[in-house]
Amino acid sequence: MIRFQSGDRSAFTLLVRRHQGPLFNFAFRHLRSQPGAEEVVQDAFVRVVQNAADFKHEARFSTWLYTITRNLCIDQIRKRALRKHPSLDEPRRADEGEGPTLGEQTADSKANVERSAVAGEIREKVQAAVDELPEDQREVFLMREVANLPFKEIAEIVGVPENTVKSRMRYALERLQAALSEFEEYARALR
Amino acid sequence: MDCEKFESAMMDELYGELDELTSAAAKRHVASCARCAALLGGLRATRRVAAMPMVDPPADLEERILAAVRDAQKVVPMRRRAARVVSAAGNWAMRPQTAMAALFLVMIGTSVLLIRGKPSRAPSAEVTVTEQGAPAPVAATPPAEATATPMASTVLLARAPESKAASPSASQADLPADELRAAPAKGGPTPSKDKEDQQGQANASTPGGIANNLPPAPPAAGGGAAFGSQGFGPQAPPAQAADGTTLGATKQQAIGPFDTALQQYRKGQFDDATRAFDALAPSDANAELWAARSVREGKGCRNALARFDKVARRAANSAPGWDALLEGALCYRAIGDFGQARVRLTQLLKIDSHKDRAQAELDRINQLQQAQGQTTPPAAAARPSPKRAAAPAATAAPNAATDQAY
Repeated sequence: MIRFQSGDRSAFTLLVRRHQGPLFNFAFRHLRSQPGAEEVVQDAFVRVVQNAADFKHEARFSTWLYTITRNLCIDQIRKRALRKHPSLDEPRRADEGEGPTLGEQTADSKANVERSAVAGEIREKVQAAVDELPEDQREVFLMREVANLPFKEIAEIVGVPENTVKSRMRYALERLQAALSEFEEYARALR
Repeated sequence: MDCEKFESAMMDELYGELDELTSAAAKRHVASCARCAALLGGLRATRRVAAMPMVDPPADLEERILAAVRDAQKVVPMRRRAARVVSAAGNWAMRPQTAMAALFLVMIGTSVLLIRGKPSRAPSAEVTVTEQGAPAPVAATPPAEATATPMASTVLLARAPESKAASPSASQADLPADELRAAPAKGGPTPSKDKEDQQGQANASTPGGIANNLPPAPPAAGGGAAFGSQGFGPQAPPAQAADGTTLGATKQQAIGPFDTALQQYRKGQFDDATRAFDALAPSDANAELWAARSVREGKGCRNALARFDKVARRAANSAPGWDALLEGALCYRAIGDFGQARVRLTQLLKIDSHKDRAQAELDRINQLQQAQGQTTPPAAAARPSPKRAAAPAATAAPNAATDQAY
């Protein structure tokens, strides 16, 4: 980011390549919509460029980037609330007709058939359980599990104390644990 | 580490964010506490089951992001554009040149406000103009008086003749002017003169009457004929007119016909002055004397002789008559008729106020006759006057030009 602020345009390409994957996954899980996630990621990087002069390196670049992305996701969720609420079974775009669902996109095609069947079932359950999480727990869970952000950074992004983030994370895990209790033995078998 | 502390550190232990020491302590506690071990194990299993696979972003996402960024950089938002303008204006305004210019503007504006805020000066009408048209010599007065109140400055105008006498215009005065300047000097102020002085000061002063508290104008230095010094009423105006500032102060009230005629005389309009003085002559011997002087200045001594003789007869035994005798004698001397000149000068030897001057003129005639080879000076004229030796050179010096002329 320092190089980009100094005028090195190629540094921005590196930033995009480094962060677009986790950022896209976070937005994708958060919005449960790939087009929405693409739009949010694209807008997030545009805002980074537009406000690059305002970034004072008082926080990590990833913290700033995820803060922008989270705000964009919240905006899009609010906009979507005014329209029709999408579901996991909904195609990516209405005008695209048939397309892969979120469950289909997250399926692991490399596993064998039996295991793939169990894994598919687990993932659907997981996704459903995650969707059932309260919003404050869900975003902490996604940041921790998907974006792999440390608790301290999540606290800065969300704007709450670190212990609050840890509490939310524990509640989220306990809820998921209850929802996925039938797969706990399976999970232990995976060790 | 106990169970309570472990629970507070459990999430960090679950995600590997504990430092080695604390992590080791947590592991020891888990090894010895079945409850905490079950709690931690359950959360670990949930994490493992709930692990969400990463979805690869679209291949063209990077390209689209970069394209969107390029488009965004082309279009500068209005807010950012305004911020740039404000920033540039701020940089321009903070230049030293701009700051100095602003400082100068503030100083000039403040000065203008202060100057305009002061009360106006004394009315210009009180700074009168002398009869010569020159400004009153206020600058020649002492600084303390010059900076006095407007009322006091008006009074100062009435006291100006001393400095006025030293002015270039006064040095250019002819014989009558010299005599006029010397008029109030020798005899001292007469009652009528005192009255005129007081009136002049009162005229020049403000209603506050400050002039009445001031001493009268001091007499001018030097001797000479004493016009108006013998209580001759109409002589006062010309004596007063001799000091220009007093006349100027009087002119504020009204200019009489005598003053008008005198002004014409001083301007060299001798024909007009003659007519004006002649108009006053029937009732004023002094005006008739001035009419004779105007004729002398305008048409020469030869034409004025009869007028001087007429005045001498009319005002015999008075100052205008003696002056007419003296000036008639000078005219006779000027035309070369020394005999007639001697007759008139000899008559003046009996007059205290004119005898020194008459004796001096007789001596001069003697010298001229000796130079021309003529003899027979009269006995009376040859007799040296006891006061002649003591006659001040200053008396003769101002009349030197007159002697050469006549």
